[in-house]
Formats: sequence, C-alpha cells, structure tokens
Amino acid sequence: MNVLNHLLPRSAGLATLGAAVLLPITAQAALLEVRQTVFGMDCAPCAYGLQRALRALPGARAARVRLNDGTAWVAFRPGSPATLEQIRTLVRNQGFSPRGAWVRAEGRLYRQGPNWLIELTPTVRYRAIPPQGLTWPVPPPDGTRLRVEGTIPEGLRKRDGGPPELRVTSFAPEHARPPTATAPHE
Amino acid sequence: MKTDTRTFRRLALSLPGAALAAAWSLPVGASGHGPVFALATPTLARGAWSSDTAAMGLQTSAGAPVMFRQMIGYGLTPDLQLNVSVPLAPTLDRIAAPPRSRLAAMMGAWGEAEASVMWRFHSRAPRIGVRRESTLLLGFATPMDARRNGVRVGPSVHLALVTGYASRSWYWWGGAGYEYYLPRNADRLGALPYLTAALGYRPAYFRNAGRPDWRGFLEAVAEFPGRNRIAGRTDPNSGGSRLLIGPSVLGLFGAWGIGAGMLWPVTQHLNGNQPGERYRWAVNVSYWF
Repeated sequence: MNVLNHLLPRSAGLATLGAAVLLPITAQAALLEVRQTVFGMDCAPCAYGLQRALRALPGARAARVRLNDGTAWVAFRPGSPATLEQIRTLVRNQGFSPRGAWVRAEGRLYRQGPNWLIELTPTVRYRAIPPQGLTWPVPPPDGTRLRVEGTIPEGLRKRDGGPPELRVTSFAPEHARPPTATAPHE
Repeated sequence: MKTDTRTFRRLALSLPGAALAAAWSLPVGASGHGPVFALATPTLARGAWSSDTAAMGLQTSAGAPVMFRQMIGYGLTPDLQLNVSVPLAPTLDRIAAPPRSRLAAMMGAWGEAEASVMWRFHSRAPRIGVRRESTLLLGFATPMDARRNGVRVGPSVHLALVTGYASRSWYWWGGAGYEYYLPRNADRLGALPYLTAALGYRPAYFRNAGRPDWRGFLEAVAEFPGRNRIAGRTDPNSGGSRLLIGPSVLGLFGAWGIGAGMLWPVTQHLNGNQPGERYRWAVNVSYWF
C-alpha cells in the first residue's frame, strides 16, 4: 500500500497525474479484493458456510473466512460484477452482522458538484475521501481511472441519501502493476 | 451386545438426510449448533438445509427404550427456521411405561412426529466472535401410537423460549418449554413443562484455524410431567418431576457435526408405580447443506 503512495506526486504533479492517465472508458471497473469484518461468527461451520458462499460469487477466485479475526476475505478476477452489497447480504443471510470493509478496486474518479465520486460500476458509486493531506487531481471531463484501496464503513447508505464513503488510503493509475492478492495467513 | 449392534446398524442406516445432501452437493449453509439435550439457538442460513439424525434412550427399572429420530430443518431466513422431526423406529411398545420426556428438547417427544418453526426474534453481535440471541419455538405434534402409558394420545402443541450467548470460548443457554396434549375421547396425556440450561466451553486449542471444532457442555434438564387422565379420571401412576444433569460434547468438521451426551437424575419424584430413570443418553449426527 505504501508503495502505491510513493507513485503520487504531492503538489502540482497531481494535476499532471490526472492528465497522464486519461484513458478511454472501456473496461468495466470492479472490486479486486475485499476484507469484510463480520461480527457474530462463533464456530467452524459458520466460517465454512460463509466461505463457500463467497467463493460462489461471480468472478471470485479465492475466499477465506477467519473466525478469530472476524474477517471474510475475497479476491476477484478483473471485471467481476460482484459488489460489496452482495458480500454483506451473504453475511446477513448466514445469520451474522457485517461491519466495515477494506477494499481494493478499480474505478473512475470524477467530480459531481462539490463531491468527488468514484464509480466502480454504473450503479455502484462511492464518495471518494482522499488520503489525509492530499487532494484529488483535476480530472478530465470523463474522469480518471484509478486503482484505489480504502475502507468503507458499515452502513452503505448515508442519511442524506447520498453515496456511501470510500475513505481512500492509497491510489494509483489503473495501469500501475497491482500487488498480488493473497489470502490472509492464519 | 446384540442390542448395541442393532442400534448401531439402525443409526448408520438412518441417515437419509445426509446421504441426500451429499448427492445433491448444494452450497453449504452455515449453522451454529449446541447442546444435545437442552434448548439452544441454532442458526441456519437463508435457503440452507440441515439434517439431524439422533439415537437416544434411557435406562429405567422397567427397561431400556431406544428412539431414533430424524429432523430436517430449512432456513426461510437467517431468523426463521422450519423443522420436521419424525421417529424412525418407534420402540414405545417395548416397555410398559415410556418416559414423559422430549429427551432432545428441540427434536420432539417420544413417539411423535413434530413440525415446528423457530423464530430468532433477538440477535445482537456486539463484537467479533460473539452473539447474543433469543429464539421462540412453536411446534405441532401428532402421535405415532394410539396409546401411551395406557392413555389414548392426542396431538400436542409445543411452545418454548430460549435465550443464550455464543462466543469463540464460552456458551450458555437457558430455556423453558411447555407441551400441551389435546384430549382424545376421555383420555388426555398430562402436559409437559420443562426447563433446560447449558453451559459450554471451547478450549483454546480448538479455537485455532485448521483444527477440529470441539466443545464441551454441562447440561441440566428439569421436567414436570403432569398427570394423565384416563376415561375422565386422573391416573395416580402418572406425573411427577425430575432433574437431570450431565455432560455432552459437540464436534464440528466443515459441514458435519456430531454430538453425544449423558444425563443422570439428581432428583426424581414420580407418582405411583412409575419406573425410575437411571440415566439417559443421546448421539446426534448433523449435516448442513
């Protein structure tokens, strides 16, 4: 994650970053990796059933549930249509309680009025909160494609009805080489 | 020994639910599970099925009846579960006075087929690995035998309430139930109020990933069977109270689970000439699919 931050110029270079990564919007943006916090799992079949269900998500290439940490980890193939809401629904359907999640995803960053949004799919958008001390680069009219890592709090809907927040901890141009997603060690 | 062999064969052959699940290979629904005898708050995922196949019995001065039961559960939602439980090999005619007990509280009473709904009306997960929940159980049972203890047996309604705590290390549940029998002609089997409690612990060794999930329980069951009525008259050889306590274990492996336990009476007060109970036992094999 820190390596990605080192790719970012911190001052006026941010503006050039946006111009440098102007790409036609062709590929579907998507979740790449999710680590979902789960409350309430107490036993092995709890984890087993949830893990099986996560592996069955479209585009999922690996999944692991850790009882002692209370986390459900899923890695997706690029272009997977799976959403965080689907993951959280699976958790609730198993009888447990989803909390905040860490995600790594590809999306289109663009400005809508006073807000910066990152769009993973046409129906999945988050309000992109940049890392502390940084501001977003001025994007081209149709946005900037980025690979981001960050956290999404428990509730997926804000009280004002606006898109939920994605608190970005690091981001990089989409074509930057991503770290390899591996299952968390026990 | 011959009885033990026969018992084992019947148990081994009576796994229709598990065999069907293995052949079907549906995605597994997670389930929490708990004590063998006492009420608990098992969880079943939405759209998931569970199979419980149990052998249970007790030793009395009048004999040693054994019962096999099969229960199939379905998770309508994570908080609403439907169950059907049937005796597989009724043995009530082997002893003159079968006990007034549900044995495994959630599976149904002797010689009865029961359909029930479990509603988890309260569930809180305050932190990782911890869950507090309460469940209401409502069941309707029909007898598989015409007479029991000389009484014409009618259908029954069963209501139970249980609350509990589940975590990575400690478990506890406390519950109360009441089974009311409808009259048949001028006979009526006495009602069966009961209380259960269970305290469980998962040792630290079994909390680590990659190891079997084993935990032990200390269970207590208090039963207060009411007096029967035969031809409109109270049967003096019926009713009473008993308190039983004992250990059980539960092992979970992926989609499989096995539980076993024994209870011994601490106190027994049975009216008339009813045979006393020396111990009771149960073995349950579970599969979630």
